[in-house]
Amino acid sequence: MNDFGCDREESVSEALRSGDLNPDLLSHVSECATCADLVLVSQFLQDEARAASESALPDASIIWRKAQLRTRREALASATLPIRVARGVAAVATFVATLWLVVSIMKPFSWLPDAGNYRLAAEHILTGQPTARWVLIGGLCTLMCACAGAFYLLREDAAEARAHRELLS
Amino acid sequence: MNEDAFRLFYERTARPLFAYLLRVSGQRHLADDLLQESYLKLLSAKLPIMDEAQTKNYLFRIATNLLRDRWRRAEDFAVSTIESSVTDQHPEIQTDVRIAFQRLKPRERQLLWLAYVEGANHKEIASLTGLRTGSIKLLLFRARRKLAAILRRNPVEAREKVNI
Repeated sequence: MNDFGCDREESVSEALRSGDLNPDLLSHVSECATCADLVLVSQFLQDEARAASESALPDASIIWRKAQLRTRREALASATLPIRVARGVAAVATFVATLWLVVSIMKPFSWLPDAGNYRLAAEHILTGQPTARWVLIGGLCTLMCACAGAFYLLREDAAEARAHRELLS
Repeated sequence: MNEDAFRLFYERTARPLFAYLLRVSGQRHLADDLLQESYLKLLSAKLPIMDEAQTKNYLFRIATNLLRDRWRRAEDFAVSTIESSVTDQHPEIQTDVRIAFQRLKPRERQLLWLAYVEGANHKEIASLTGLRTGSIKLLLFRARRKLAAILRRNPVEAREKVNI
């Protein structure tokens, strides 16, 4: 025996696994504290392994199908990456364009500081330049479409991700 | 790996892997999750050609990494969850010592299991756990001495201490 074990540990361990603890090793175990610990611990762990391995396990085909599904999902994700990037760029471009449109159509409306005065503001919109009025309406429609589009895209992506998670769980 | 080869491999390796995960984690639901996740990771990995022993070794390495990820998060390995390990199919067998076993640190349980159930040598344990080969002997010696002391102690006493 040394500080951190016994030189015969390996042979005792091997004999325990094969179930062949010969008299020589048995007599050594009875004299060696390290090997006595080893026998005690090994037998306990072997019993634990036997008890645990009797549990019901999922079927191999379920795991196989899940793995196929995961592989397909990963392939799909990498194949559609450019599309998703393009979507993101389009969403950002739409937002920037809408912002630019809103700012640019606001400029001709010098009456905006009077916006708190609803009667005056209404007069400007109704009696002002027809072009400005239509630009304002068009801009608002564009903004609403952009918002609806962004909402639809995000909702679709979220639903897709959720469906994959459910399939894999 | 095709489906038939996987099925064969699964039949040979699932029980020892599950036993390892169950006894090291101490929780059935976690062992179930990690078992499936280990095989899924194995199947999705691009592996070179390996024999069954090497593939099993790789599988245990995946499982060991998943276990380590969980115990780094700590909440899955709290002492309060010990009871789940004794509610398996043989509650009557060694319930007290099983509880006592769960009092060891996850790393200690892992080393003991790999050495004395899986029969892994120090080099293999080091490769599975990411520890240095030189430190395995000492860690294993300490863990074994600790478990032997627990096993020799009065089991009732062990249970009372766990329930504190």
